[in-house]
Amino acid sequence: MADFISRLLAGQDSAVYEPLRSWWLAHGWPPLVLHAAWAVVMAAAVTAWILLSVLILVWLERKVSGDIQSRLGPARVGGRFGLLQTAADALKLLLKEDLIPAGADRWLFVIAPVVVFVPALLVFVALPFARTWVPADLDIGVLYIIAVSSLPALGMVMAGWGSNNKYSLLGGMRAAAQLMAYEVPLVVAVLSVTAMAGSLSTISIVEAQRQGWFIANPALWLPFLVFFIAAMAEINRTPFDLAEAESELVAGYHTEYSGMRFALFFLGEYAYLFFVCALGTVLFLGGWLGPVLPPALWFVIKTYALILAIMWVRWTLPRLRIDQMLGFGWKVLLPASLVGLVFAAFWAVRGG
Amino acid sequence: MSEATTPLVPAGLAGLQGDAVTVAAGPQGAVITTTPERLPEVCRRLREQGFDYLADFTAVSHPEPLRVVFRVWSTTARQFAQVVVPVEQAQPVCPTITPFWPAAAWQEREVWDLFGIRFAGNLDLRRILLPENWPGHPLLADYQAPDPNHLLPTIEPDPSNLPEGQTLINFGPQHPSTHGVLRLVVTLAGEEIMAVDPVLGYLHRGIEKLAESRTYPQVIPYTDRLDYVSGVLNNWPYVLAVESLLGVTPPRRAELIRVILGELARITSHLVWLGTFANDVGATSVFLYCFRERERALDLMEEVTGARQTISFFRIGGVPYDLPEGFAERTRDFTRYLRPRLDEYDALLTGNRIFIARAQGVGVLKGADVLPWAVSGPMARASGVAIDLRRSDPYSVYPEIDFAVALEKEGDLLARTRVRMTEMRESARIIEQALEMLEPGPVLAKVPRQIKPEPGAAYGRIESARGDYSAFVVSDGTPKPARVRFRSPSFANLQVLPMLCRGAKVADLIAILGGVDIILGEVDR
Amino acid sequence: MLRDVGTGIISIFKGLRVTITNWLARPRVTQAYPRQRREPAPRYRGLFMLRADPERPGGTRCTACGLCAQACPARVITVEPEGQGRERHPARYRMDLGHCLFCRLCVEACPFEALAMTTEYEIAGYTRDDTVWELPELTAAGRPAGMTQKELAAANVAPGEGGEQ
Repeated sequence: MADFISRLLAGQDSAVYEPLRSWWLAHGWPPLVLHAAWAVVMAAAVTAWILLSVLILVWLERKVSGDIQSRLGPARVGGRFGLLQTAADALKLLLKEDLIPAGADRWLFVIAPVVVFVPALLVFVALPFARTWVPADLDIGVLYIIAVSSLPALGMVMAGWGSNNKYSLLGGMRAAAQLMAYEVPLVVAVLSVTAMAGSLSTISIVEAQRQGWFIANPALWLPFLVFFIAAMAEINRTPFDLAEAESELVAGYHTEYSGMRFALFFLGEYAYLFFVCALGTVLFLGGWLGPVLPPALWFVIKTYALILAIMWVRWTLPRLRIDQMLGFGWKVLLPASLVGLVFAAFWAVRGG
Repeated sequence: MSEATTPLVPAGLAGLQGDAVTVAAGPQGAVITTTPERLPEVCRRLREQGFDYLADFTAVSHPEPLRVVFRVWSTTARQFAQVVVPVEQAQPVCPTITPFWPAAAWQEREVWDLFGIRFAGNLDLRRILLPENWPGHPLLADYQAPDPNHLLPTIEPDPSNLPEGQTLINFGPQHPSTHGVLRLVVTLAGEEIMAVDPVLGYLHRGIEKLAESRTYPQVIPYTDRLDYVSGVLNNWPYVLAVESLLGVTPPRRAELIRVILGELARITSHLVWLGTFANDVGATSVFLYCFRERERALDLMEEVTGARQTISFFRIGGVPYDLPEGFAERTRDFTRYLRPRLDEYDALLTGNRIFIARAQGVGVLKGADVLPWAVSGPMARASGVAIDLRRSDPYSVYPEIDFAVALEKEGDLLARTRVRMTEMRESARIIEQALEMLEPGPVLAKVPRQIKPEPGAAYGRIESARGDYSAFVVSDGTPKPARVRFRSPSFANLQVLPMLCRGAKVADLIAILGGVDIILGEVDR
Repeated sequence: MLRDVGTGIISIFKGLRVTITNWLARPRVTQAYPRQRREPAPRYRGLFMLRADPERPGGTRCTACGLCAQACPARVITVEPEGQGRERHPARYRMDLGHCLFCRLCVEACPFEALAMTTEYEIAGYTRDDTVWELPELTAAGRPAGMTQKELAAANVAPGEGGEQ
């Protein structure tokens, strides 16, 4: 048993799947059923992880913002550190009345939160927590991730249109414009890394960092900076949160949402936060690589380091106006990302 | 209230004396009494003589007659002139003075609203504090309040006669960023603002009418509820006015205590402004930092007065009790603690590239528009007009204290932020100097048990955190005032908001509104 | 242009330094109420108190002179006197604190050192009746003594400094 646990934690080989597969086939049962059942198990594991992470992240955000602002943050629900605060809030949201505004496009209104939230789960198909801790080792992992992560923009526009509210529509359009503007520099920064690693597979990208994390490579500093900024813009965080800021005139695409639908948007934002930091860890910080500790733990530590950095930036900077934000994305970040790509490609071709 | 005004009538005004116009010397400047027919001529002459700033405009209904009373100020000669225009009781009419002082536009609307005096020639004479369909004019002596259970139907703005491509958006009164219950009816063409029409009165509590049924000392706690973040700065103009009427001077120690508490109040007010403004543009942490600093200042006020926000500590003749033991040391600790924090706010805001992008060039108020529209306070000083009433119309012991007048010239939001940050630093300096100047002595002058001034009228004027804040008190020989008028800087400054917003993007509307720094308590009274 | 970008980036880092200092090096200033309660300053304008005097009828120093009711701007106080001369005391002393401005003019008006304001601030209730305080509640034993007008006047800076009139 101890041996099993240690192999499991080391993630060196598939400690669970291989024996299970052998046992299954030994009984002569059809492999397809095993694959289907395993897929369901993986999906459940990913979903459970995301929901747990989101719970922790919301609590962490509130504690971190409290610390930065010289105040306590949640301190009553669930002990002195308010550990159950998020659970209490989620429960509250679940108990709210299910409202659909009059004149709203029912179908769009209902589907939009799903379209925003589900891609956050889908991207984890190709994000490895350890060498074999990944639902599917896709050869085109990075391509898949980028493709799936552009789906939420569609959901935001659906929410804006389906709400039958001109402010929501305006907010939805702005959010979509913002996501489009920052998608391109993000992709180019990711391309810089793939040029360096020579592969689109996320596992290969991490393996390519065995000699040294990519962030230590000066040729990738600019791509990292671009990635970091574009990531904050993709997840609608300050300084790029005009689309949802409550103190602006236009209230945002999720104004008309309440209860669990709103919770989906809210949880989606935090799921994406985890996702972009996990992606950044895989691309720049060496994924699961690290001495002594179990690889999956390294992955989580590095991801949380990026998460804390993003939270730090959020609670420091004021927000940009939509025209300034779009101008910055197209006129500053995109050229910077292209320059970064050129340097990275040059470095990769020279052989480092 | 200024020692510099001479009791004699300025030469240029003496020529006005004639039939229907009398010019007399008053303790606070020349008093010109005229008829409505001769008013435009009087105004023209006053303008020619350099009276370029409309300090206050109101009406008084009793003791008889019903009259329009306004006061103009010459910023260069530092002199006042008060104009009194009796109007007829039934169907009162008076010509508008907006051609001479545009700032009178909203003030005339208020007088129409509360007194029923029509201003011929005012292009936009609607009610301002009460709904358009309100019956009667409340500040008249014989006003009967309507049944409070009878609800008036709401009037909505009509968008049907807008030009092509323009829409109407209603902003407020419930909105996290209006800093109170303010409603703005905004006409947009796409992203650009065509017009802004502020709808006021959601916080109107009738404090001026209320004051008429309270004794002079009883009015003081109500003044706190005007500019509710500024503490004692609200009590000050009113007690100055009543002290003028009584001919009482507070003792020196009381003046110094007033200065110390007043400057502490100014710091807390600016901290609230800075925090909420930063919050409007997204820097939430600054909001919390400002409130953290403010808590320490409020602790100091609590030690002295017993209250943190609605202080009512000033009394007619001084302050009621002295400072507690150790106050001076704790206050010095606070000013020492505050300075590095203000530098941190510079790092987070005024020096921050993103904030500069949001604030530079936004909501520009040209220097030439400041005086005609009676804009005062940091808004005026940010546009290059160096008027600070602590220097220009001094009161209390400010002439003995060394401080700089914060001045910037761009007139945009960044300039306003810098002006207010500088004012906080200067207030800290003023407090430290005043603490040094403290000497043992009484804190309350001898005033009669029952305050019953001789019939007359007086102004009390101070530089509050928002600008020119004055009170006008009319006494009729009874223990209760006949009229108390509060001229609030937020009301006057808000008048230029439509001008600032025209042509701006809708995303900047919040920031511009925040930069004006209004408190609805003193706008609506 | 490049220098502009440079100073821009530096300004952002300066701001980040402020927030991280607050995050890691400064104490939290909020209190977990009600586990931690704040102690107001001695002069705090909280709930009222009628000072006890067991020798007098009515048990308090109050003589029902009504000066406090006259001084109050908000008509909070209702006093019903009973008895004559030195025996005069309040049969009923009612404070409708729902209207109270907590301005302390009543305490300043009391010539008998009877009315005081204490530092109690947790006086909220669930109904409007809870905001009306009658004589027994205002004199209940075990309540803090509060500060009367003379005590406020005496709580000054070092001895030798002047008080007021």
